Amino acid sequence: MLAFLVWITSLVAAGALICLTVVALIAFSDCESDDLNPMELAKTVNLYVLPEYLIFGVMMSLFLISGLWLEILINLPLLGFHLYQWWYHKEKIDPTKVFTDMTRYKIVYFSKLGFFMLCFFFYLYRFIYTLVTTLTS
Amino acid sequence: MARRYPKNEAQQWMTQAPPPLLSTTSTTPAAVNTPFVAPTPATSSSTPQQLQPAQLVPPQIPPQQQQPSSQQTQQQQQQHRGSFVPADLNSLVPAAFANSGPEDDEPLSNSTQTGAVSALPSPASMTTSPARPPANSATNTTVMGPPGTPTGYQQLYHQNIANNLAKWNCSRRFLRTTTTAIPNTPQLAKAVPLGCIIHPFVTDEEVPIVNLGKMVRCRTCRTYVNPFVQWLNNGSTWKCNICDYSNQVPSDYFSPIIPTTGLRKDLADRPELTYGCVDMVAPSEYLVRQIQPPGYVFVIDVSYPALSSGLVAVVAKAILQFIESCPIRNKVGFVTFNNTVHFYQFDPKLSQPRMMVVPDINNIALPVPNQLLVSLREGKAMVTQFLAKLPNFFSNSKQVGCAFGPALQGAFNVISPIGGKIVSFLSNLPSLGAGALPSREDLKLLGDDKEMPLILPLASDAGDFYKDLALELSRQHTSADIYTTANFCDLATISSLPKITSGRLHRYPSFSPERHEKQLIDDLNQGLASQGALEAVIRLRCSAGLTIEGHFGNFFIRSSDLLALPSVDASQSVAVQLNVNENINSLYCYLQNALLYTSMDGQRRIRVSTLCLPVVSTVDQLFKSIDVEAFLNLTARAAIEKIPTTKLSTVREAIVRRLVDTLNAYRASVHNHTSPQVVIPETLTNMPLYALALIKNAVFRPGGQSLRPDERVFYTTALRSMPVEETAIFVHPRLFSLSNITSDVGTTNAEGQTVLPPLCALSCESITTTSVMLMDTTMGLLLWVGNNAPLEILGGLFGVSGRLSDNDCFAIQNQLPELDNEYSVCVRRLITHLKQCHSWPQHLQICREWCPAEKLHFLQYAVTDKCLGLPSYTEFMNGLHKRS
Repeated sequence: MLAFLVWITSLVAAGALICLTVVALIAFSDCESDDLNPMELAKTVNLYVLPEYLIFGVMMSLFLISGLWLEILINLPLLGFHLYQWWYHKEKIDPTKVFTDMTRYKIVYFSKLGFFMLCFFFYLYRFIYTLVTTLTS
Repeated sequence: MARRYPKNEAQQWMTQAPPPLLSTTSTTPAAVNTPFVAPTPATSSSTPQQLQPAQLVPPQIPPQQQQPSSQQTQQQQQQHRGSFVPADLNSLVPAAFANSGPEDDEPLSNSTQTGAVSALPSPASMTTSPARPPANSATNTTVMGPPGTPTGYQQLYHQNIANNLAKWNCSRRFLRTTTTAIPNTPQLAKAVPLGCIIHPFVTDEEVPIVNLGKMVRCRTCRTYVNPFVQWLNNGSTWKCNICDYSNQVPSDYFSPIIPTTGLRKDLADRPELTYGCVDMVAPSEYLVRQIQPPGYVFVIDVSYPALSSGLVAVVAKAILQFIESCPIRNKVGFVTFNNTVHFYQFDPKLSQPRMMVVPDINNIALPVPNQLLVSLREGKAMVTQFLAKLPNFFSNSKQVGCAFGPALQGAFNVISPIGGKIVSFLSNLPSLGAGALPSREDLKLLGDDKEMPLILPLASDAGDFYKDLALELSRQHTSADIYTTANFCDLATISSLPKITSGRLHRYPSFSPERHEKQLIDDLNQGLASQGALEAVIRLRCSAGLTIEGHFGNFFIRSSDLLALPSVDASQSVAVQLNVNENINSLYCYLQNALLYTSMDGQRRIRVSTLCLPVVSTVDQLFKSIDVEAFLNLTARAAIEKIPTTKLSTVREAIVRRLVDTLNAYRASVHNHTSPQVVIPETLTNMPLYALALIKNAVFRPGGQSLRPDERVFYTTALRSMPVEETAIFVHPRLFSLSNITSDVGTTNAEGQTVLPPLCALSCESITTTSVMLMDTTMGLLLWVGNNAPLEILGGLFGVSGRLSDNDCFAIQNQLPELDNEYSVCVRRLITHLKQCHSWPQHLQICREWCPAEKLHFLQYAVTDKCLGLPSYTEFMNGLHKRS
């Protein structure tokens, strides 16, 4: 039972993380094409930084509680990256550095998007696998 | 012509005379301290143009550059014949400026014109019927096409540019590129870093003011009309030189073309078509808000350290002098702070201002909604009285807290309706309220890689406070200047304010009124007097093939290529790094810089500078066109940009690496790797010395106990926006020997340049105990007095017969004694000239050899010697050979 709850929550969490990343990427492309100025971009993106870290934290703690080691292993690099950003106060976008660091921000967000999509499908697969094996047994 | 430095001749080289670094004469500035000009009433111009005579400094484009272009003209015309009209216009408009940015308020019409470019003008719009040009023209000797046809126009166009390039091009002082010719392929462009440095306000240059009524700009790329556009169809269309789009000429701007020359008939009346840098009066669509008089809010620290060191008295004097000489339409306000923040209400009904203390520094709200900012028209007498009494208000206060952050917030609230400048005077580390900073300077860490965090902004909420405040200020068109006397006030964090809002930063460690009073008064007054622009934005446009890679300087990047500078003064410049991203097929490349600003007397103008650069295809020609000082400036700024993310040793390595890469590219292409040693082209002869001096500069050197983090941050902020001519002197100062000078030193010679004594090499061989030397470092004049300096010089110059005492020094630094002998007259003339030839006011400082601190301060500039673990000049050159 717990496994189902964990899978459903992680599916929803991965979906939410994908949405947040997509919103950030859209904001970046708006800024590049002059529809958004850097300060508003920073406000929009920074609004979603804390929710993203919280959702990710909840997901990781759920995995820890239910002892799903493979998922924890997959998410460890991202956990390390988030901790590094938090420690060195770099998680928020700096409006003065938006245009100089634009490529770096885009690389980070695109790879996060790719990673979260992979995670989503992986959790979906695991969820359905667990469902099928539980129902057939 | 390349000069080689084989290893076995290195020693011989050392004994030869130092390389000629700078000419021994310099240009005389026409204006000295430009006093505030009484504001002329803003007349609505009934005449279509307002002209002012311009003093142009002809750009020094070397004559051999004209040769390749005329040789290429023949080949180019073979290509262009028959394919004059480009098929797809959209491919010519680089994506970077296909949109209209916040600079333009005119809506960008969706142009769907492709294919047929030039629409024939309807007869109704022409006042006279176009004269049919004669079929054969006597002046066209090589006839590729009859004049009046597209190829005929093209030929005339290139001829006109070739003839008038020197006259029409923007002066080098305004827009300067690292090379005076552009490489035509991306592979060739990798050899030399391409960039341009924009210096909008040069102290003694006059720029003609033009009023076009309605702006004439290209429809697609929004370029302003400039001398290098091509006039087609007998003057009814003009082809933009940046994007090659043919625009309709507005009917009130039309003028027929002289068929034989291809120039407009009214060219003499149109300064925007004959001068490379013009000020165009901007119509009302270009206003972001109603034009306001500039506001100045002075934020003064009145805590006990500031009072006891005498800062408050000196500040009051300085502001008083500013108020006496500034235009009366300006508005001023005052905020003082120690443990609390105090506001001053200037009520005309009262005889003196009312002081209001805001005790709750966590919640700064304005005590009264208005009258905190008073226009000098009404309140000048009250303000003058107030300043005279200011030091006495707090004479009994013993508060040592420093609520700088809340004071800045209060000042921002005061000034935000109208914008302008916040000038703050700080004597201590901010310790109370928002923006309170921990004392993180640890002298044991200096000289180590652990010093890095001390020169970077604090990564915490308190550190972010200054950056966020700076962004708010920039939004409200306000810039922030900081004058600090603290030894450590975490300048790395606080300097975000002047950095992002393009303000000034001045530092007076160990402040004492005898030493620094004149300095502070001069710095404040000259700094505010040299301000030329308010609420300015800058955009650079470049023609096809060139792209903009990055921007360096003190400003806020508001959009992908739009820079916001709330204030621009004579010491600020912007550097743009360029790159060639596709092959360039045309003969010339164009750069146009537009600065939209409000002048200090309230007129909205656009300063348009256009530069035309020939395109070259060989490495040899490219290297002949390098401008070494601009190369140095761009390298320095790019290196400063790297500091937050890399170690200083890596940054130094990157500076040398850039030089080595350029030299290797030269050797590879020109000499095909045949010579074993590095080959230095003639234009880059001085670059190794500049590179060595740069890595030994206070900004990049390894540091140690003598270089405090605040000092390093101060120099970094200054270097980040320093103009090209001053960077060269800042990095490699000019050292003059005062032992034997001729009697015409300091006077102007026949060419209008000031005669200077001969330059000496910057090494301990020149700086001896028996010498008296003067060094010009762009940010200060240093006068070295050796232990055994000849008594005649000491007597003739200073009027002393033995060693100089401290009091003597203070007196001399403020004003050299006016003794009667010729030697003193010459030296005083020289010092007066050197003090005024840069945009930063230079102050004289005496460095006596027997004082260890002063000796070290002077000898830090001996860059050709080995010091701090960095090589001497010969070792550096040997190292260059080994690397390649």
